[in-house]
Amino acid sequence: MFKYIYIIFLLFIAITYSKATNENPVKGYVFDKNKQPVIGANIYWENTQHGTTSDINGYFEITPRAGSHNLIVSYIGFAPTSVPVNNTAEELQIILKGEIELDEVVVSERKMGTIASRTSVLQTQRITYDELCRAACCNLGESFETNPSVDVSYSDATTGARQIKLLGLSGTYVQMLTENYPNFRGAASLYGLDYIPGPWMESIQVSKGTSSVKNGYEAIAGQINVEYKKPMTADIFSANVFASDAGRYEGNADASWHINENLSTGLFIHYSNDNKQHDSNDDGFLDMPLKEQVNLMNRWYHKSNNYVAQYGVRYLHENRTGGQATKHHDFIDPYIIKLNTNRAELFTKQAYILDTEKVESVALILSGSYHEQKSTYDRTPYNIYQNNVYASLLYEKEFSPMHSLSTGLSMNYDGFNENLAYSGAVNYFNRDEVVPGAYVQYTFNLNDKLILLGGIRADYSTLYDFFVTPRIHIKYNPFEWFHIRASAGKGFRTANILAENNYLLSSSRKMNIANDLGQEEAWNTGINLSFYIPLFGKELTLNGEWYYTDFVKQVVVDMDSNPHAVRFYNLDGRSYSSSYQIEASYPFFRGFTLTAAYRYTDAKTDYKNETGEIFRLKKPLMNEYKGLVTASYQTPLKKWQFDLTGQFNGGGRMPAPDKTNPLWESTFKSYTIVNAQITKYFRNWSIYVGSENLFNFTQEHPIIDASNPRGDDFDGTMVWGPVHGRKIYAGIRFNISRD
Amino acid sequence: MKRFWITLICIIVALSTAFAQDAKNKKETINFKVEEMHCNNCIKKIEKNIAFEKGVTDLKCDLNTHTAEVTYKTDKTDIEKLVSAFKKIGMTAVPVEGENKDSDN
Repeated sequence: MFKYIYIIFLLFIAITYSKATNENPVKGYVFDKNKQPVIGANIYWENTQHGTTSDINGYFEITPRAGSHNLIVSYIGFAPTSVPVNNTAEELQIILKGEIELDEVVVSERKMGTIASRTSVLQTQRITYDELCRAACCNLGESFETNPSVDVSYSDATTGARQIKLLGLSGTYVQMLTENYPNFRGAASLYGLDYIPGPWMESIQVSKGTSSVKNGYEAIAGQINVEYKKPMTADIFSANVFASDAGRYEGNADASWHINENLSTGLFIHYSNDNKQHDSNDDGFLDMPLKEQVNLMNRWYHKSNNYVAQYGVRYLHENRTGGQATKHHDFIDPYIIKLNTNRAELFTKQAYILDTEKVESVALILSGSYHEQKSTYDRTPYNIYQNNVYASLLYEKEFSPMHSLSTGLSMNYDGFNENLAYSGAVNYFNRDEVVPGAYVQYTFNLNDKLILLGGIRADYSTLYDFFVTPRIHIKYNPFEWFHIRASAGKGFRTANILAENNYLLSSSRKMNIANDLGQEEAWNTGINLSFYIPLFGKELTLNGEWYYTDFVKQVVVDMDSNPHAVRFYNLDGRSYSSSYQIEASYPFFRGFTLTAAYRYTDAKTDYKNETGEIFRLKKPLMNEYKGLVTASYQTPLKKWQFDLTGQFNGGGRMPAPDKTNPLWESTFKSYTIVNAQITKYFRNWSIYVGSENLFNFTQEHPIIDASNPRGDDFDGTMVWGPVHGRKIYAGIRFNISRD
Repeated sequence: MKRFWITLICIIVALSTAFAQDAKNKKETINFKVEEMHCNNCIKKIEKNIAFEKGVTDLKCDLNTHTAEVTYKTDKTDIEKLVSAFKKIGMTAVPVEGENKDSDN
């Protein structure tokens, strides 16, 4: 929800000697309680725009400004705290404190792009801008190519809808946040991964398992938070152009202005166009939909002594056209899927520091969005209009380094207006849900060796009555080189059937939705062990984890009991997912790092067919295992960078084909995807070329009965692998930095 | 999977031969004491600039000792030019005596 609040201790206080115009910079370090450096803290002179950020060692230096003797130290735009500076010759040692330090403390020869937080009590990985630059990263959906935890796969072969998978669960069980408030819920969940352009992002945080109760009750498998570039620290101007042989053109630009001492703003622009028809498997259907997207954002940041205010507004327009490839074939009446999306978002965050010594603050977050998707799946029109309003009021206080408390109130409103013309009649699926709630969260911290975080929230849904969400996290690090984390907690979710599954309309399957669908409810438990082992003068990082999700109530998406239908009904029996992962990373020689990871997932659900028989099956279209090896090399002068990633995807189960006339196999085999990229850096710009799916692996017949799209066997949703083959791309990044 | 490893090995071999080519000309390595080198941002600044100076073939910055070890081709640049390159980005580089290593590799 928002970053934590920090106390500042000034260890070295001025003694004598002060010069009015001292040109020596003020130097210092920002540490956490553990004396580990805090990276990326904002440090600036009060009432000026003159600032800097702490580096990987927590170090900063800042030249003195006439008229200002107070340094403000904050983190990600929150909780500015003032440090009086009387003697610039002394090196400052500023210790930031927070309930849970989310700051990363990895010190390495070469900063790796993905940093696993060592201090956070939640298991959190931070994907930095450096990491995003290792791959094409046109948007959020493509940002996880070098990440072993998050899978992104296409939901179907026609619309380009993409789903995240985390811990063997689909993306709807992962809570999406932008700037630490919930976003892309409901109608935006299918294509939301395409709504955040890569160059806009400063970092992405991925946390697995149950998360803090601060952000609500929805995170079941985990949480993904995107931080956009901040106007205070962003480049004056940066731009990026990108083109791929698949016919994608893209341009991004962002700029930031420091208008006066207290006010700064950032403007973000994105335009992309996929206008080339591809049908490499010659089944008459486009391999990828044609797309055009315009995306604009403007954000404001205002600060004065103890008060920080942020405002943002965003607009997005997207057109998608999928279906039959009219350019390569003569169709008299082609099967076409058209989606036309408009989305507007507003947000504001207001934070007031009541007491800097005691880390006492109040904050208010307000966000609203309007989302419309007008679509036609061939002859089936489907339209959705969603309004969302979210409000959250938080109060936090640290009583002592050992005890801190966070509590707050929240309210979420979702208004859905959906209509689907189906079997000759227009069906309306309109509903409103208001969920007010309250939470309290307590942190016990014993010298950072043992951290206990317990939270509970109670919410009332106008659709599902009262419900209580308890969550607990423990972190224990007996030694520097060994950290153990455990978590357990509950999550709840309202299933939005058509909003989240309308891509299933690109098949002949009949939609069969039960009337009495309930709220989804699940327990998630996890354990994680991290080892940091010194080996030949470098550090070997080993990580092992196990997460188990057990559904108490679930809306089952059943494509198995009838190959010509998709059925949605309440779970009767068990549904669980067990995910094991190991990961190792070692910098073998100067500039070179190799990371290898392996994950095994066991996810099963009890399905109930039309006659009431229950049968337990593995989740369909899910890889049983996944291996990932990613190697990165930077030359000594850092002028060249080479990245290579191999994804080894295990086989899995297909939804049951028709017994008398099976049109697809009952399983799919394992496959490998290799991506590579070369980047050349210059003083103010860089150029990159790369390839996705280097060895051109594709699923052979992604669309079932493609020649007869209006027949009873047509199905565009039996997709387990890439539909589009090798892609070659190139791009240029340019920036004017602020200092 | 095999193809991935073959690709990786090919790239490493290609890189090592590519960079071995560099070693024809006479090179020298010098240590500079750079007082202004306090933080990783400063190192980034040095790397973004000094690395792109003509003749520079290697650069290692050490934050603890505030030194930058620069390897350069003697026919392309010299210590004076390097010092002025540091000056351009607002840093004073003082050659550390006695630690110069000649290397002809």
